[in-house]
Amino acid sequence: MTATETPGPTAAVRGNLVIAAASVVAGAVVIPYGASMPYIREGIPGPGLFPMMIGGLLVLFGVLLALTSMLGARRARRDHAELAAATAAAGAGAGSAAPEDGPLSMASASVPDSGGDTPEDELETVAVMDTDIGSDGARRWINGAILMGGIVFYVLFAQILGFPLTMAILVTAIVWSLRAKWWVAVTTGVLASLGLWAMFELGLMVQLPDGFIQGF
Amino acid sequence: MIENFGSALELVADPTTILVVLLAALFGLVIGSLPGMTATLAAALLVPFTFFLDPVPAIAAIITMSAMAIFAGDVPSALLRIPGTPSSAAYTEDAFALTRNGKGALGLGVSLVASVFGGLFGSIMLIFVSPILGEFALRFTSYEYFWVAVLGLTAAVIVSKGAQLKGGIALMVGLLVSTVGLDVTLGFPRFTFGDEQLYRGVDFIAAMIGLFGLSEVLRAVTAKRGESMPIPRIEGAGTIRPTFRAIWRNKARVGSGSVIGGVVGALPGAGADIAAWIAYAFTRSTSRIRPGKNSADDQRVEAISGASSANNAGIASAYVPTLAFGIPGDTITAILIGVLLVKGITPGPDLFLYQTDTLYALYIIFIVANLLLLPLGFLLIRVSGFVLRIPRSVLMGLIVAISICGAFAINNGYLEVGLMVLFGVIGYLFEKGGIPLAPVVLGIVLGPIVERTFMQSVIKTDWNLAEFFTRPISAVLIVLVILAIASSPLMSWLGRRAERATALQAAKDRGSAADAAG
Amino acid sequence: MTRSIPSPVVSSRPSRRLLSGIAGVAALALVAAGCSGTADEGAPDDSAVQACNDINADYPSGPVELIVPWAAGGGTDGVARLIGEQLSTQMSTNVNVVNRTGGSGVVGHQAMVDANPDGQTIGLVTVEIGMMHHQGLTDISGEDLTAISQMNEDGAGITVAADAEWDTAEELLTYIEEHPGEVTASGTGQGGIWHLALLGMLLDNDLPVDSVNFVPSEGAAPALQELVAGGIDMTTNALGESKTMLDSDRAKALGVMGTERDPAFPDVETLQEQLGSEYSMTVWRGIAGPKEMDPTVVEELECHLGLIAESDSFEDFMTKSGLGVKYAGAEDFQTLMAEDDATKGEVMEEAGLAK
Repeated sequence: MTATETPGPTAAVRGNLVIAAASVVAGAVVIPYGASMPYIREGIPGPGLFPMMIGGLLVLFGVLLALTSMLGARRARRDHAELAAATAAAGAGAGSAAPEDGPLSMASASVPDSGGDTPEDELETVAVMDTDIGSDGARRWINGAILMGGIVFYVLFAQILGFPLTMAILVTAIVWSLRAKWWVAVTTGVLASLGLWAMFELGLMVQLPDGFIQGF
Repeated sequence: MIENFGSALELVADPTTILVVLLAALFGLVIGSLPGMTATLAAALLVPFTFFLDPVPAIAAIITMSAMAIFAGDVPSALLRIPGTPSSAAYTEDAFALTRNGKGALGLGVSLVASVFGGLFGSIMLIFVSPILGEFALRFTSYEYFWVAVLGLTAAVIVSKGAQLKGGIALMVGLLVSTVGLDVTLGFPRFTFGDEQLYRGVDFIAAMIGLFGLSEVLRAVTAKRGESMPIPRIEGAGTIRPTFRAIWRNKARVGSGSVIGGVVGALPGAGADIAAWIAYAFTRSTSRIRPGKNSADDQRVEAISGASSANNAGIASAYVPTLAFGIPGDTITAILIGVLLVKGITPGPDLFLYQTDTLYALYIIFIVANLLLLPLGFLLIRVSGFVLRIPRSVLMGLIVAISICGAFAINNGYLEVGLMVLFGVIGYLFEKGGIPLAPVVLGIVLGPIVERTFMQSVIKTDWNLAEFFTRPISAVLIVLVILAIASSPLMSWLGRRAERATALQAAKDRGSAADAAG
Repeated sequence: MTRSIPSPVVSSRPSRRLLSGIAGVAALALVAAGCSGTADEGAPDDSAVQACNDINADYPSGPVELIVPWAAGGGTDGVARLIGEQLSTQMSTNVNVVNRTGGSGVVGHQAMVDANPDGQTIGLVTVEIGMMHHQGLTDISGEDLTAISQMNEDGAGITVAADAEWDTAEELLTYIEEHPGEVTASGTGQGGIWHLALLGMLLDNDLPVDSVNFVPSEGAAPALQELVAGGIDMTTNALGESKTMLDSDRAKALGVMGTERDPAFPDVETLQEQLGSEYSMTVWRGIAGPKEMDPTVVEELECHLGLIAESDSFEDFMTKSGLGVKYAGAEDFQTLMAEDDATKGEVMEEAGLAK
């Protein structure tokens, strides 16, 4: 996964607790719903059996996740302390070597199973295609809203305006919101929608909404 | 036999057949690399054209197309993190990680060559063990299918790498999603909230496009300045040699993947998707990072070579029950049976007795299609590298456009587009919380099979659960399931212990070394 | 069932051919048509096609959408794609086959009902239209559609494993009577057409509906696999679907639930022959459109579909796919839908499947 931010141990534990709670709640909602489904015969569950089993496992996994992440945090603190003690004992003698290596080895030991992915991802990235599209502050959320709102716009208006126009507007908006030049955005929008139109409609015989340009 | 082979060769070497094979290959490559367009859909689109062809080119078109499409599905998963076909979903994360680490071409190359080897293995298996294996597969009842599907589910444990509990939650979410729609036992609508559209359930392709594709876009557009992940360029040229070196290093993986794909694919109804997951799980659970010897990337290459060979082997071996008994091994072969029948070829023992030249022609096509995949595949990789030179802002717009079209094309409706958006948000949130996404897809794909076979089994015997454990083939599968579940947490626990001990030891060593120095 | 030749089309064709002959274009066309008709392809002759197209000169205006309520790759999809292909050549326009799957056919049939009645959207309607509203899945029925043509009909069959102890339907039914709840059957999902066929047969023989244990499956193919593997005892799908299993002697057919024998399986006796019962259960497929279509559009499509049903290529395809050809014009098809709806409703009511 992204490894964009390596959350500290406490943040990871807090995140895990939120997930655990959500999982338990989801399970708690699903079980009664499953139980309310009809039975095949008296005493023999049918449609509700699997949802109930899944709900039960969601609760179980949620509880286990909460327990293990709290235990893990405690264990990490203990290990951390041991390690710190050992480092401190060493540090008394050798001033230069220990502080340099210390934090690194600590980091790998003290985040027990947060995040989950392969450690550190070894990002030896040679940034060739570096067009940073990130933004600051509120702009990030506006971009997100443009993306989501754009798709909603497409769903609502594709039938009326037709695929080529709606898709062109959507793509242009997204590209433009990511700080591309306006003519790049417009060109992308037009070419993408026409290209996909041709490919699906003519090549793959999938009917896309025509809108008012029907018969074209 | 030689005589038959000669006349079969004549059938294949016909110019029409060659032209059809080439066109079908291109068609398969294009369809496969579009997310949401599956090989099954492509095969259905081909059917009307096959009515106008002779039997051999008609079959050739479908076989070639499906082999190409399954590989081409790996391309968007590596470049855009959207699996093109469901069977690529198993190793999408690995392929995309490789691309991010600048080894995209290697990842795709390995996947290609592994696909070719897998496909060839599957074809050889089809040719030689078809009758025997078909007979074996015919002994599978709902119990055995249940255990095969459960074995597939255990892959979730392995794909969650060190976050098994979160993986378990993700799997449950996927299974829960799979229960949406009309239930199998009574036709009772579950989680449909009164909407008839949802009766058909959540299409996993829409879910996949959302979980992997749209969530990636969502993350990119909401990224902080300087935070967005730079993607290195794919160098299409000069990848052939390192690719073959990597394949040679992982020859055992390709071998085991091919065998798994061949066996699982030959089970009617199991197909290439499950084969890829099981092979992936097997490869992942048996490979360890040895510091200094191999890196996480090597492990990814290993996993890809296992799973990618498995899905192509599965494609070929799915024809075993098809040819031997007319039982479709997957949806593509189901379509092919229709075409065969229309062309006056009845799958079954007759085919092996009386229509041997058609049969051999079919074998030859399999080999040819897989060999053809090699040059065309490298060409596709070469071309696909351009995708990553497109500025990111433009690329994001394109991903959204392709995702919407793909989701729409699934059923010509907006429900799938809506579901894609929903799953995009879910994928975004899950990643923030460090919950692996692959188990969700696994749950959605395998959930219906697990539930159906379970319910069928208990209805059949009036809840005599003992039947699940007493059948010989089941017993073998159960042992495999237990091994799969137990191995990974045990390994990771041992690994963590060892890691901690090493860290502590290193600190102590430094301490004593410092003491000695001081 | 027989491939009954539709009488209206046959009788109207010679006169049209005559007309075009008089018109003068025709001496040549007649010869050409005669040749192509008797010789190979079996494609309907040009003058007949032209006559169909002349019924409504303004139709079709642009591509026609053919909705299929079942998934790509299935038997119904295959039939639809062939019809679409032939319609497309005859009407010289694009016919796009669109799969609208889900909810046991509800979604696709609903889409046909909701379509604009301009004839640019038609659909392949299947037997489920008369079943799903009894199950409470939807409100729509055959009455909400304009029937155009019936294209196919198949009777339910009884298939058992080759090593089963029963050799006739009577033996099987006696066994069921003596050992209630012991025999397991499958062939389709719960409440599907073949399930209904089984229940109807039991009711017809005064057996309780739970005397056979029905296991829902995802269609005939997996059910037959289960049958051959020994997981279940019988299936009630159409014999055409069991063809490969029957041909390879892994399964045997005990009977067919029609009033006539299946021409593809002339040796399999009907239930009527074996038991003297009138019971029959069939599936059918046909083309229909939304309500209130222009009568001339319906007539034009009916005319085209009649030619398709007669064509050798359609018959070839159907025979080889194990499907029976049965053509009925718009009026007969509309009646069939209504009658079928009533009879299936009765069985479902008795069997407790209706809501």
